[in-house]
Amino acid sequence: MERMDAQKARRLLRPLRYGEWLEAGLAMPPKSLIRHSIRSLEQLAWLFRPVSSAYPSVDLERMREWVAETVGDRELAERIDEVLRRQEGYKQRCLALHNLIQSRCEALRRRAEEEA
Amino acid sequence: MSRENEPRFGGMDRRTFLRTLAAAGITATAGAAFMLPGSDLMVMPHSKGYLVVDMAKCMGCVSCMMTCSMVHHGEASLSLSRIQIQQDSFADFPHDIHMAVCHQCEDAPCVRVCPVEADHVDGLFGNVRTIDPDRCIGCTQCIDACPWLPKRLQFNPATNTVQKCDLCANTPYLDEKGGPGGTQSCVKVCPTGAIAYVEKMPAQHDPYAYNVNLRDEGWAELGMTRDDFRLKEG
Amino acid sequence: MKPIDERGYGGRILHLKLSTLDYEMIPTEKYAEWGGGNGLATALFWDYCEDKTIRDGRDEKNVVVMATSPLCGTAAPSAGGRCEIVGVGCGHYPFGWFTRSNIGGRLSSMLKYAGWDAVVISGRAPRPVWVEITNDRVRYHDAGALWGMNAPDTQKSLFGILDRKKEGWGWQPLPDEEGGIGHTTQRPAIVCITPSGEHRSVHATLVHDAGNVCGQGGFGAVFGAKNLKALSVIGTGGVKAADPAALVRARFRVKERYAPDPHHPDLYHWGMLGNPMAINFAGHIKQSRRQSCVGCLMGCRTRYGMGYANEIKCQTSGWYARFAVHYAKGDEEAVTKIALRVGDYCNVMGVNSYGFQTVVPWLESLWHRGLLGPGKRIDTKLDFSKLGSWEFGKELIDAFAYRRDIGELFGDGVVHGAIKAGLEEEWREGRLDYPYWGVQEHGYDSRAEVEWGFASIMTERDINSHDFNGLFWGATLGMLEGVPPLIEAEELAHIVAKKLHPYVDGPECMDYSDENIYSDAVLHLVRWYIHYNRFWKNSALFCDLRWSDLFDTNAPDNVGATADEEVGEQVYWNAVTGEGISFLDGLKRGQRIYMLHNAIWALQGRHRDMVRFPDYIYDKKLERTELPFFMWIGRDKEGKWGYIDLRGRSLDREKFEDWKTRFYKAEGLDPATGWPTERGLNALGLSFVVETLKAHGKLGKES
Repeated sequence: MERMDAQKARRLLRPLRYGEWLEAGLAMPPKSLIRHSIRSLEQLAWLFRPVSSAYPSVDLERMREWVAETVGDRELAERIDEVLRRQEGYKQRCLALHNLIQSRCEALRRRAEEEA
Repeated sequence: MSRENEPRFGGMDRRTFLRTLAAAGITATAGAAFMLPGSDLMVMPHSKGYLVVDMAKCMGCVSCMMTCSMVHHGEASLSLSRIQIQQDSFADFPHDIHMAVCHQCEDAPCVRVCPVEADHVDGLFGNVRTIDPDRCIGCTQCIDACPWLPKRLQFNPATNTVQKCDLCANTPYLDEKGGPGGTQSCVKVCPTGAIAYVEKMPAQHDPYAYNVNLRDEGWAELGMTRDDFRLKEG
Repeated sequence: MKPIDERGYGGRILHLKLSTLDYEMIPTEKYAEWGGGNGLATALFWDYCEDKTIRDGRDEKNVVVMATSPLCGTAAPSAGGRCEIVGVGCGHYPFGWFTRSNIGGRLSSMLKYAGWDAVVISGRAPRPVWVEITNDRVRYHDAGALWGMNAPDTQKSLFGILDRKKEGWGWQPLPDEEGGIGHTTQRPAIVCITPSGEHRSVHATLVHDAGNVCGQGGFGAVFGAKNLKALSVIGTGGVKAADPAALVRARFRVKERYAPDPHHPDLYHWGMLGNPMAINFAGHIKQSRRQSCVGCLMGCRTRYGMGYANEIKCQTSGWYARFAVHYAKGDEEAVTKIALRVGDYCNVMGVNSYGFQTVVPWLESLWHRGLLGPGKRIDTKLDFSKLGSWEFGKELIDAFAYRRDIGELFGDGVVHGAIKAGLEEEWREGRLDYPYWGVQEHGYDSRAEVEWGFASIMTERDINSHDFNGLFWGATLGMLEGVPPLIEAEELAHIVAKKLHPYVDGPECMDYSDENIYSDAVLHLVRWYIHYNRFWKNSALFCDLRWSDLFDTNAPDNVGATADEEVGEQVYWNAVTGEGISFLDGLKRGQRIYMLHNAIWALQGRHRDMVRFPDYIYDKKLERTELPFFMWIGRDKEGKWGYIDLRGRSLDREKFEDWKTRFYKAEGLDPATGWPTERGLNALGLSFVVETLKAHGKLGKES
């Protein structure tokens, strides 16, 4: 992770305003979808958490754009892009994305707290 | 259901007394219930089959009730069903559903009290306790004698007779052979497998014995519990 | 032919004349040609509603019909427990259409066991009443003490009143029966309204037991306007089948071949009948059971051990989760419990939760945009910063139930409220997603799953019929899991096309690529869909969540149970009624019923120019970022079948108008107006409608 100051870390972790949210969902077999509006990077990590009874449901490319443009975390977006370019199924990519986003959030939280 | 008021035999309750008789080799042969000389005790052979249920698994569709009355009477009727499912939509699981099946009692009181021997042990059909509608006079003493609630016998006002579960022995509208060893319509139609046919007699006098846990790993996969519940019959 | 009461019918129809607190009995024989359910109810509406031009179901002149089918109260698979409700509704845009809804549970079976095939409700009671139906006995009771009660309290009060011997519903003679004409262990089936119906909110539902709810059409408000608080039914009779052994045989057979296996559930199963779904969007709570309507092959509802949320399912269980997540900060159990509790409260207060799924995110957006709040364009005291909490959910539902705060603005309809608040553009541009007749979007957008949208706009409401929709879920969830499709696209297209024959000649009907959705093949698929609905689903009352079963991976050849010669819909119908009709005969009946609906809509003022989606369906491409893909089947330019993503398209106005023209012609309707023509009516045995339409100047011209 590039060196960033606490202010930037806090900015990336900020709760987003209405209009900046990412529409996503949780899909549950055999037939259901709960819609969710993702309102921060940490909520995005929550969306991708591995649970046995549901799948994160979101247009992955739109999600990458949102991380880059709305959240403003281009470094993370680049690493998401690497995952999306892998020849893997949706579920496998979601697991990789969860690890990636979760680690990023933890790192950002540490950085934000370090200088607090 | 308490049986405290039942007569006692030489200091023994009825069940102990029956076991003693059995140990002494005094048992009824197939299809032949008989009065023990010098007593009001009837000795009858055990039914060769029993229905047990899982009250925590039933989903209240009453398919068993509708099919029971359909195979016996050609009509779907909850009042003519020999298995009774009661439910309270507003009660908490697992107390929202009660399933009532005839116990095919070891010493069936309904058979004992029948004044015309309409309610009898049917040797042709695995000793199932059943009622001959042609002999029944509709006195309903059998209903009164049944120790369970709801009563496991039903009065049919159209024919003025009483009926009870015969394990599908006498089913004019069932293509298959019924009775012990054959098809039981309620078991076969139940979508969840909440009713089972067993050959071993469940413990008598135990208000929990006919309610068993029929939930398996598949049930858990559907997101529900496999916990045991001690659900008492009414 | 056997007497009517020996072939699935009770034999009599009850007409409640509320204005005079009187009733009459109508012999069912006269209406048996309509089958049951919607057909029967529509025919009764035609005869008993004198003014069919009314445009609001709350009008005293409205007539509501609750109708069963011969299958109700029998073990015909997933067909024994539905009850159809028909009449002029309220809350639609531009006005309340003659419409239908449906309620499950025990109501229809109890009506049948009491000997009644339908209940016609006309007039307005002079004061609040409830009606007790016990076998053939009918009594009106004062409902003053019940007025204001919610759904559980109303029903529990009536259980107490009706359990006159205080025996707690053991075996007992019916209440107050002298001589005991029947005994039962069962509770009465009660359908009731709540304060939302009493306040005539179009969001008001009819509620029966804990979680059986009739939502679309605002029938709760219609009952409220009629001063009818509740109907209680208990019967000790039975439903006689023409061929009992055939019914039992087919029920056993369908279980063997298609029903979900509870011991080895297949959560990725494709199809309807064999799907093990217990639809619960808010996650599982293990201390629970499946619960079903009468005669279902596998229940879709849940009862819990936590004091609330019994029988809620599907959208009701999950619509609030998206807000609860933020409030409960991701605590999964807390989210589930808040969502279930708020969903449950919708049923307690008799408020239709479906609209909330769409309207609450929109209200939240208005709040964020400064258009809603204290002193704002939409003035409200509701504190949207608390959205996601149980307390806010309760306040919101109460507002809609009692028509206070924003509940008053939207009390006559959501689109009506938006227009009243000067926010019509929100709807026209799609921020308020109400695509057909002022009714909320169901989740299967008209631009993608076109049969759903086309059939909704060609009828009068969200058609809410999942016949083809299992394909979307199977393919989409399979993609999420990373498993190959359980049925290859080409095979699936052929399986479905065979089921739809002779409406379609080949698999082209299942090609949902951009080029094909306006084709005749898709047009005839939509016709089949409407006709199937109108008879097999809405009249014979096969449940929408199990039927039709077009394809089914429980069967070795993936062919579903629909129309099957051993276990198809007509097998059960014929076993019970002895009619000996074919599956296709049922579809023809469906077409006839649909034609009669069109006649009523014409009388109400419908014209083809009104039959259009709001602008956003044509002007905006479908995005749906909450889905990674919206899978269906289609052909590429080389004609090769495959699974395709339906996102990213909008409908074409001109092409859809042309599609409508062809549709109207195929249905015997005048393409210039959409009204029934004399020839079309006569062809379907509806000549009795001609003079009425002519008298109102609504008879279509022959093309």
